[in-house]
Amino acid sequence: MKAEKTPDPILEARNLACGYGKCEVLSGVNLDVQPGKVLALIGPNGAGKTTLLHTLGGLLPALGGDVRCEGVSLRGRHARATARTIALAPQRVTPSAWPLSVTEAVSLGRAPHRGWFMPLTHEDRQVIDASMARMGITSLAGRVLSTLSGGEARRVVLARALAQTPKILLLDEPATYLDIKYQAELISLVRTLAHEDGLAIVLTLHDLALVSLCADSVALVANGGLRMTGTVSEVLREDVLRPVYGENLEVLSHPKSGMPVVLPKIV
Amino acid sequence: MRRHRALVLLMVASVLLVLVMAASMGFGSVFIKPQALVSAVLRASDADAVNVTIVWDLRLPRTLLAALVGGALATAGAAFQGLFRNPLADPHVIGASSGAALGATLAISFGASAGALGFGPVPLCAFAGALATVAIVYVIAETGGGASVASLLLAGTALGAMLSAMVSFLLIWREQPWFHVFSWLLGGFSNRSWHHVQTALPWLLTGMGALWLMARPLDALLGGDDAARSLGLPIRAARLVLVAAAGLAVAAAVAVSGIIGFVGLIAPHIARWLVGAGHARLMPMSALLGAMLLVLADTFARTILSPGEIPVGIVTAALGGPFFLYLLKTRGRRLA
Repeated sequence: MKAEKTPDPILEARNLACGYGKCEVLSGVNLDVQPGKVLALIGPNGAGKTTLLHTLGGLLPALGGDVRCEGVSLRGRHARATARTIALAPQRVTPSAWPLSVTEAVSLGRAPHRGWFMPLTHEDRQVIDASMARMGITSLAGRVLSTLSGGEARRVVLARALAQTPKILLLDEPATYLDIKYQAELISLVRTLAHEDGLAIVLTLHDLALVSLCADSVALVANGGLRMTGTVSEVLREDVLRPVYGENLEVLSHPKSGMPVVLPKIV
Repeated sequence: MRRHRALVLLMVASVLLVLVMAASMGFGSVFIKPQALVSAVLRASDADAVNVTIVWDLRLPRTLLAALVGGALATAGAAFQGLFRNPLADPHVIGASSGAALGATLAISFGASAGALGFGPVPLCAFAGALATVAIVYVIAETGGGASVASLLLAGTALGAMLSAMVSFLLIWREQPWFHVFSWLLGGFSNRSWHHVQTALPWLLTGMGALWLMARPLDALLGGDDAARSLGLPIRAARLVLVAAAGLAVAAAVAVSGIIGFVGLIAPHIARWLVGAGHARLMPMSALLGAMLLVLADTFARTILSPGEIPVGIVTAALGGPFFLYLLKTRGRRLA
């Protein structure tokens, strides 16, 4: 393992404490995110997966320690500069009563590059079209978000994140609302974006059955900190997960790939 | 396709606004026929001298002021509805009008006589009251623990209620100015002249222009604070600019015309139904519709009981209300 030289992490957390105001949710977090790899954050409901993701993306200021992106601290960095490198697809899709059209929503992904007041260029339009094509939503272009299904709306959010042309992609529960067809498409897209396009991807997953399908490494968030970080087969073990999630789970070996699959155990 | 449709609709609305304004200048205690109106507006050599005086000294400034105020209120309404993601938001939602009402009531009750910035004493006090209230609401909401749009909304409502109580108290305490204050509160454009247009114009245009520039940040905010932040929008700065620009436009509008309700609420809803929720098109469409609605309402207000007139606020609510309810019933799903 040591012989193989690990590349410099593109995003790193050092002794990071995160939370809201005076309320600390996680502390002492050390995490490396490598380009070309998919890192899954898992942990029980309310453990702080989203809080950590938002702090990594610069949406929440670090309460202690530091997040460094390409070696530069996110502290005091202009939000727009961060958004050119890091794109975050939030968990909740659109709380608005009057949604935009799909094209308008995806176009917002160019704002970090073009600014908030300049008109979009031809190049911007090409990026927008390509992002929409990649998520398979070109045919939805003129529709308004409120008329979309949950899965379609989720793909719009992902297309917008891609339109930011980021180096780091943070996905908060990307598989939620997706039926199995789109889950499969999402997972292969995530793997392609990391392994072929070289993006660093961090995603939160509450469905442990999906972890081994898309992640290269896994970080377990529980009890106010990172409990463990490692490869899929290092973390997805009954003796690691049971103290955190309780006894009602079992880890099976996938009959085809041999990878660990975590399922609820019905007693 | 959608873009072109919106552009066509905007052009149609602009032409309609000009026609509505022309019609408004024709109607009144003296009816001026279209041909005579055109030559009076152009001050043509064959124009009737009386008509020229009526048009240039009375009706044109009044119609222009109504259009400007309607446009500003509707633009501010659209901005607040987007900022608060709330269909009930209107230009008065963060207390500007309550502050203006208190300022005006104080000025009337105590007979203020000093003006400044071109404003007369009552409009000046209303303008200052509105701006001070917006500033207080903003500071309270943004320095509190959970700074969010909800705290702005709540602070605005709470302060608005307090200020209204003070207005009521003043009215009961000092009985004489009751009619004067009440008709001011209901809003109107009687006896408005070029002077008022000149005074309000820079503030109204600055506020509306700044809000229009904020179209894309408003689009981003529609998706929630987290989504907007992840796009690199400095949320607090955006909120400050929006509140300041809308506050300025509303303060100037209220200072010269009193508190006119409803236009700023319904115009953005109708505009959204026509051109969609994207603010780059929503803002100008709201402004055009707001201007149109208020010019129509003012024409009605000064002709229905001619030669007397009624406060335009009564007309906007009495006619705008049923119209809006009709829209809600027939196309409710597309409006809200």
